[in-house]
Amino acid sequence: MNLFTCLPHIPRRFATFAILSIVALGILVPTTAFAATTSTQKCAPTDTQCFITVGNQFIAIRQTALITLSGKITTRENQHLISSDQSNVLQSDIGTNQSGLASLKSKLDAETNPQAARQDVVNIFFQFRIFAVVLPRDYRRLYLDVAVNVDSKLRSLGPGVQQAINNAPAGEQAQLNTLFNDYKNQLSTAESQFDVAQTAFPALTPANFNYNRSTYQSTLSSLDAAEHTIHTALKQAGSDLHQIAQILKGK
Amino acid sequence: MTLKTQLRQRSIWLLLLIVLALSLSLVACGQQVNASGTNAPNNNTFSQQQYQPNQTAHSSNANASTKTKLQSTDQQVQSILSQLEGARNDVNSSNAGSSQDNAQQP
Repeated sequence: MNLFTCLPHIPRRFATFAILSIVALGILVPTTAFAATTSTQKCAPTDTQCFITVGNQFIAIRQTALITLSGKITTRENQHLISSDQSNVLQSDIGTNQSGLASLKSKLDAETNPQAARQDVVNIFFQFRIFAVVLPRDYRRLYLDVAVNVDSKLRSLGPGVQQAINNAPAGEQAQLNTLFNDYKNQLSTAESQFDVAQTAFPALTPANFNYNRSTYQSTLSSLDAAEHTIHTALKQAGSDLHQIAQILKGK
Repeated sequence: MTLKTQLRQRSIWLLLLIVLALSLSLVACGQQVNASGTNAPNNNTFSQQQYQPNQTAHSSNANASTKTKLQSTDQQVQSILSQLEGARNDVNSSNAGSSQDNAQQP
């Protein structure tokens, strides 16, 4: 008996169950996968409770995202990739936003006027700009802090690498020195962008995002270009070091 | 071929289509889970011990030691570079989420 002769004998109940399952999945998957983005519902202009409920959803999503960022900062600090001072600067900014959102939630929960409640919800976006400004800025600052420390550690390895090259056979010296010179040049390239990146952060504010968008965007673009250069240079320096180590290991 | 037989055959084809759709859904979910798993932080830490050159390393033993230290240092550097990559991925993720502040307000 082959497969196709068996198929007609599959119970009809099973087919019905399968159809119902696929329909259920079709309903459940979109609602769970896009829960964060489909929470925007329209409230009637006089429905104060609706504004409060929706506003609290917006606040909860932002508080969760801030907690995630805080956890990543702690992880980087535990990995000794950022200092406690660098960590404190970022955690302080997170704390400011968390307490600001908590205050706004208290105000929203106590609203009895629908216009005031609606304005509170608008302020979740307008005043805080957690997703548009705070998280992109703070993740970039965290990246830069890590990159500065990685560069410092790579720079400190220079004398030891030079010593290893000096001890290598004469026939390998030229290739090793070419790699080592590129290593040092890549670190210099990264270091030349640190100040460019650092100066960008003060301009990345919700106020500039709201009222001076062109300045905000150009500053963000400069920061992204600087961090891209830093990232490429540090990776290349790491690649140079790896090649040096491989050449020396082979002998 | 009776109407009943035709209906049965059609339901079988429908059943096969459903099984195919379910399989594709599961594969897609699996890929998504795997993709998110790649962002897990690497807990390797960069050793605070710095590489120290041996000023009198002229013997073969000293050379071997220098090479060994360099291999170890290289492994540590590759580890912290992967963590740097993780920090970079976090920046990209924050960019992807920035549109949530453009959501339609109630």
